[in-house]
Amino acid sequence: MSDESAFLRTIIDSPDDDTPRLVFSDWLEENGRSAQAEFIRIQIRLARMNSWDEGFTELRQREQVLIRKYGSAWMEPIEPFLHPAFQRDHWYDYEELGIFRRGMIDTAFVDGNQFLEDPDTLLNSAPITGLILLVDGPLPDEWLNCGTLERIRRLKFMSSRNRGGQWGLEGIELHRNDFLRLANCPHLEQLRTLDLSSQTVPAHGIVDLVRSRHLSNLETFSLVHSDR
Amino acid sequence: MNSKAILGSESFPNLNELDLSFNHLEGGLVPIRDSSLAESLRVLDVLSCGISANEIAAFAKSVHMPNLESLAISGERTLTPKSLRILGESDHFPRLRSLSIALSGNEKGYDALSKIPLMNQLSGLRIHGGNLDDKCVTILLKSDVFERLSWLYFYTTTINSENRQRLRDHFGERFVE
Repeated sequence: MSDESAFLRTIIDSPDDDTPRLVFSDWLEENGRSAQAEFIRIQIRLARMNSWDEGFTELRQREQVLIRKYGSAWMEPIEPFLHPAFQRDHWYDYEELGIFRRGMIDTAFVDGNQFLEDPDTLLNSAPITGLILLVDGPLPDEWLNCGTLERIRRLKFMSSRNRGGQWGLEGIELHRNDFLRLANCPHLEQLRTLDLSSQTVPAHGIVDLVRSRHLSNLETFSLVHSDR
Repeated sequence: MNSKAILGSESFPNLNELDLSFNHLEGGLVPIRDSSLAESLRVLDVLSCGISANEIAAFAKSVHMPNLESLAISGERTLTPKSLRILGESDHFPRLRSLSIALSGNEKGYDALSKIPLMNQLSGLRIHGGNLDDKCVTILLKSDVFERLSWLYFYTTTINSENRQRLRDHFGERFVE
């Protein structure tokens, strides 16, 4: 195992611990990859700050400069899994979707089928704890039965309302019964964030989710424009 | 949307960020005010939820959100100076640092904004919509309360190039474009 792979393994095994990331940052610096090293340090500092703290805006601006310049290249390890609707060369997608956290790829906007084919390879390529999916419901059983979801803390379902347009995607969203199926999915116990913005969530779907015994750890719930 | 279901007794016990923006909320803000989650929420977004100015005023007067750090709220359209004053005089958001509101380009709105006590505790202000004219920009540049902001962000607000430059010159990097 190379030094870099060993660092990555340690970070993946302890996704909440900043220390391995900072050690990796030092190694990157010593090995001529100072931009990536700086990016890790900046995002770790930002994660510990409030938006109103002194210096926050300056760090955010530097963070965005680095993402614009290197973001696409840093996505290389998970490139085969990315959904075509993820705008890899557009800095705004990194910002809006929170792709990088604490200096590493954290959230992946994936092709659902590609993910199902080999979920462990994706989650062993980077310290990924968030998934973004663009799925035309009903959700496949294979997806709900995927045990790898137990490693996921943030889950966002896009629809063709917030990701259609130039990709010619129309009418893509979860099925009205998918919310009950999500509520009953035993592999979502670690979920902290559920984002169903721009899905059509029926009243009974919200009740099903709230009553789920598998989603009791949820800390963030987004239902932007879900009422139609 | 029936927000009572989310905020009721069976709700997620650890929830601290809730974004219900761009939904029509049955019962307006009352289910939020009456929920035990009101005390623990850190982030609440109820922009463009068809809430009347009177509902916002009643909410600001009666809700208790001791941990709320970020609030995004608007009326059926933009906040009126009156509802803005009532919101801004509320002492029920002691930890609020970030406020997002929809405001018209009318100078009365910006004048009201500059005078609300809540501005003194804010570090971030995001304004949605409106047409920011010369008079509004002058209020932003002359009032001391805006000097405290770490960031000032306009979203879908029409600002001509001259006024944009005035804001850049005055606020520097704190003016987020």
